[in-house]
Amino acid sequence: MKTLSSKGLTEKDLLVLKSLVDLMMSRTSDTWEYAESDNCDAVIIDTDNLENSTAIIDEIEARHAIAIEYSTGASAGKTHFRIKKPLRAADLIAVFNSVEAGLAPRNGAQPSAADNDKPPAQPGISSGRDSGILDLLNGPDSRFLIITANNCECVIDLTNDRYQITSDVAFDELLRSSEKSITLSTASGLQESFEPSWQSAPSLRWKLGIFLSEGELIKTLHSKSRFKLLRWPPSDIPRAMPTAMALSASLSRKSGATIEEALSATNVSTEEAIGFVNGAYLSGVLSVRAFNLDDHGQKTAKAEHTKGLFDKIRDRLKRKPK
Amino acid sequence: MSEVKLIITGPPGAGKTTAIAAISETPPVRTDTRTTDDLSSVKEETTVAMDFGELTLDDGQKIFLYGTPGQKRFEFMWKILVEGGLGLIILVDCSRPEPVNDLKIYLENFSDFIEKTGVVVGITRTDGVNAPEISEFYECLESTGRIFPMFEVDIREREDVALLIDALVSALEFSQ
Repeated sequence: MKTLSSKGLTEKDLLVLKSLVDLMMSRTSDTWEYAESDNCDAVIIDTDNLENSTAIIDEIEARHAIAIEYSTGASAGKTHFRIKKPLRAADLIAVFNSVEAGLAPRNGAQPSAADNDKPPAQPGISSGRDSGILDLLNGPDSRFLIITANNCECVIDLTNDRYQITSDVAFDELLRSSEKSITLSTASGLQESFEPSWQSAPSLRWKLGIFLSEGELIKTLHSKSRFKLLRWPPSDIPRAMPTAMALSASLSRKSGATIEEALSATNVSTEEAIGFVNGAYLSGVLSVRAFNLDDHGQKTAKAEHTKGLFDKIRDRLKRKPK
Repeated sequence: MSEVKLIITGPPGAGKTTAIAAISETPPVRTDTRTTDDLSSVKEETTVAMDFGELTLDDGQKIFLYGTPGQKRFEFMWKILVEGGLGLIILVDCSRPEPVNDLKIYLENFSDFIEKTGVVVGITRTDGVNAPEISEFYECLESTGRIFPMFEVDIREREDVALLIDALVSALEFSQ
């Protein structure tokens, strides 16, 4: 069992937090309990309400507990983990699962701004492999993603789920391009320089997962873990990726599914399934259950993909009306 | 061939009749009558028994689409219409005063049918200033312990109605 406490939360937020912790027991690998104690495994700190939040975070981390920043707007980069206001079950579950996995998002990624004894954050980190970039997206210094392909540049503001693109190329098309190069940046001037031309993209993180994974899971995920989808993707995702419907359904079973089980049930390609799982994880709508190395996955009978009723209905829906 | 029925339900004015008209390959059969109660300020006519449309699959099998009457006083029709149904589409109109509560009511009223089959939720008219975020609808679902497909849709568009049916079919095939 793991324990959680908080510092600086309003009465309302505290009530919500306690209720969510009670309700979420079945959705996290370990059992979590709220406790009024100084020796908890993790502490949520409302950095908006506390003037001395940096000192409090240092004190928490000094005793090897996990500090979780809870704030509005952009992350102050003071902690490994952060939850954006308001409190949402999906965000809390995602953070709990990351804490349980013992894998802070910046492990193997950029140093945080809070690390004074380490070199300062680099203005840009490039990756030859797209999936490597995905591992860095949750880091506190990951604010902008710059994708260039065929004389077109797209700046993605990860904090505000929006992008700016320099030509008429569709966003999805650019992400799918095989000739693209990708840079992760912390440059603070980017936001202001593009202010008038940002385009909102609520499905941004879904799309980054789906199009940039190249068949590799994000490092904080394990291929034998059991994944449960907490929310279906927005409608533009199944439009861009028709197999998203089958994957969503498979991963939203009561007990969730491993990637192997989802593949077995749906006949979707491994690359698509991994991209979908990465997209769901980046969007904060995926619950991850711990894996067991001895468990080789529940073998489900391969479905007979004959021309069944459901396939026939799908075919009919694709046909345009006369 | 056995009869395959899909049921579309939701509060008055949510777009059940419009959805059937958008996807049906034959002109929908409607049982509308002039509204005489409080609803008359919102819409001139309302469904009193059912709406009916159909789709024909490649092998000639028919998929029947039934729209329930929205008003609670026609609740007796709901149970009749869902009998033998394959699954349920709930439409929720965000221009109504309490759309999240509307969803709760319909989930509760059709809970037995949903338990046996499957459901997809279409959220309509989401552009109003007071429209709830889709996350609020999901929070409502979380209390049931189940995750259903839920999409913001323009129910006048055939593609959006097709998306809801596709999600329902996928949920029935892969979520069980």
